[in-house]
Amino acid sequence: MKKFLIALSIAVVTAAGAGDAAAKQLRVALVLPGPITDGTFNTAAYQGIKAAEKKYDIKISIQENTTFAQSKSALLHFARDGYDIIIGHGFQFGDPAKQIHKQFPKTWFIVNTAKVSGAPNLASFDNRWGDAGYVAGAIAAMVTKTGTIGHIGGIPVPVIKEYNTGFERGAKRFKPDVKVLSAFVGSFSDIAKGKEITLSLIERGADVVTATGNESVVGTIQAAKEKGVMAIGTAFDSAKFAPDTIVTTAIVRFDINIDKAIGLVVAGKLEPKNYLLGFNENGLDLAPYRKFDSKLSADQKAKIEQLIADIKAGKVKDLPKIQ
Amino acid sequence: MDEIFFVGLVASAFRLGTPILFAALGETVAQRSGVLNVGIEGIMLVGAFTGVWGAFATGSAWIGLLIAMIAGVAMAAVHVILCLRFHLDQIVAGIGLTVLGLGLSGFGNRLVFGTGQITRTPVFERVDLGWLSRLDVIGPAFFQHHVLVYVAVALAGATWWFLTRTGWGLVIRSVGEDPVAANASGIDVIKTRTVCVLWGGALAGAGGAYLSVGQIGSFVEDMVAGRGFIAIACVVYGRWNPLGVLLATLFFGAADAAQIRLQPLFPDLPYQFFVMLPYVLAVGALVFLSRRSRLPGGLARPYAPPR
Repeated sequence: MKKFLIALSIAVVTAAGAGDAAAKQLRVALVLPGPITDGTFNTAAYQGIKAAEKKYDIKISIQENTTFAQSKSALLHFARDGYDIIIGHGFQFGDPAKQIHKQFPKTWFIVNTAKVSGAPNLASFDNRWGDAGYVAGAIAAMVTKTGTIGHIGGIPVPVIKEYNTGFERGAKRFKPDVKVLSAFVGSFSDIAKGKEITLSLIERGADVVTATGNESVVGTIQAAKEKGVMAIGTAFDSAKFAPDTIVTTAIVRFDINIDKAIGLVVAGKLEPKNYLLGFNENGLDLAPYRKFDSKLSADQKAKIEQLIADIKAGKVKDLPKIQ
Repeated sequence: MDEIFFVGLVASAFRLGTPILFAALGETVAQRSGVLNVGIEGIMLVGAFTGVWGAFATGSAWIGLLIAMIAGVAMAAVHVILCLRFHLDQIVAGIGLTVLGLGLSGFGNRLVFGTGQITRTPVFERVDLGWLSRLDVIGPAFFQHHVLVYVAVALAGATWWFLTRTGWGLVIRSVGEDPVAANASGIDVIKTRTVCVLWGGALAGAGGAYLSVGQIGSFVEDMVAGRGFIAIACVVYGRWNPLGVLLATLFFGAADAAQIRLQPLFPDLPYQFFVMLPYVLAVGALVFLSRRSRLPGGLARPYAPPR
């Protein structure tokens, strides 16, 4: 019965799709795990799709606050509705997309921060978070005075683990005896807990902190600001929250991910594979130092620039393995 | 256990426990009057948002707190209408309230502040308790908090005194134990319960405002993150006694503060083990304590006065 209903819905959708083929405007759905107001992971995706809306002839629909449990039903909902592209913004959409993509051959399923793929219509876009963490760690090691730095993760999904590993290795490259503290919130969204954990790492002597997650990142930035210790942002340039304490941000260019994904579909060139974006592909970036520009020596800045160039050239050998 | 660990742990226990304590004290009064409100989470969210809004608009954290409490009363009024006027199931109405609060606070946040930016509000000042605040170890652990932390602790004592040592407290307890008998003795059951539920709403709103205005200075969606439900659990652990509730919330805060401090010390253990620690302790405590606990006789039973 269920199969029949699915088949029927596909038939209806296909028929409807064929009917208005004249005005072929792509319909794109973006499914987000958090709110578009989180100031990091989800805001970045939201701004990316908004930019794509202006650039391409597409009609967008956004679903926010999708819990882990709702991941599959959210994708199914848009697929049954006949959307041309469905973007799941987060690792957790990988498995559900893999389960259902074959039932909807006319729809492209695209998952961000995951490594899934499947013919004919499942692709994923991932960024080299480990490289971003490596650069962040290098900067942290250069600016720390106590020799202790900290990383606060939301939930240890693969990209967060990669960032974490990169952070530690990048720091040790420039200061082998640096101490790296690490803790997890157990939630992407608990801002108060994110702040509290950050305070506990600052108590233990950390004077540079970085965080990965959704709203929990804001908690870290807030704690650093309050205690006057330095922070390195991730994913989304949030320097304006705390201009005096944010050294820089290891930006993950979700706008590039989304732009590339939609652009390739429009051009009919998207392949069912994993696209991995790093510094070379503009998928990663480093925000300007702004107020810290004068606090970092020319030598330090040159070293970071050299490091990024080395990463681009494939000369850095201990970058975290992509999981 | 070294000094930094101890000071951080105690201070952190108060910070983590206070928003839960506010909400749990209000819920204690409501439950002692016989009304279960599982919508605390939603009320706290609305309080968290309206607190930030109020503080941002007026430039005063205190006015923000006041507005959050008023908003909490308004949310609780919905519960009053559904449960006391129309005698609906209190759990169902409470769940509705939770979802309503989540939606209202998120929607309001976008209307007022838009997307992609975090608003900064004025925050509550720390109190200076003179020589107490400057004591070694004890000072930073106990006497350098936001003033609201002390308000919450004092409120626990005041609520205990009010419920057990005053005539009005007796009225509330009698309404909660046996509304029929209370009604027969001339007490207006509905009016008493209404006041208690509204007070519970005001305190849940205050708990939300402590979290947003007091701790962060801004609002993000779903920031209460389950603390409303923990507050209800703490009412049970505290056996409906405000002083017990105080201990339960501080215990929970301390367990949470301990787990986040133990995590970086044992990087080889899975972090989930630490994250679940407070909950495991809480369930363990419940098993141990529940043997002697007794819930209010009329709790969660709809009551309609005879005409």
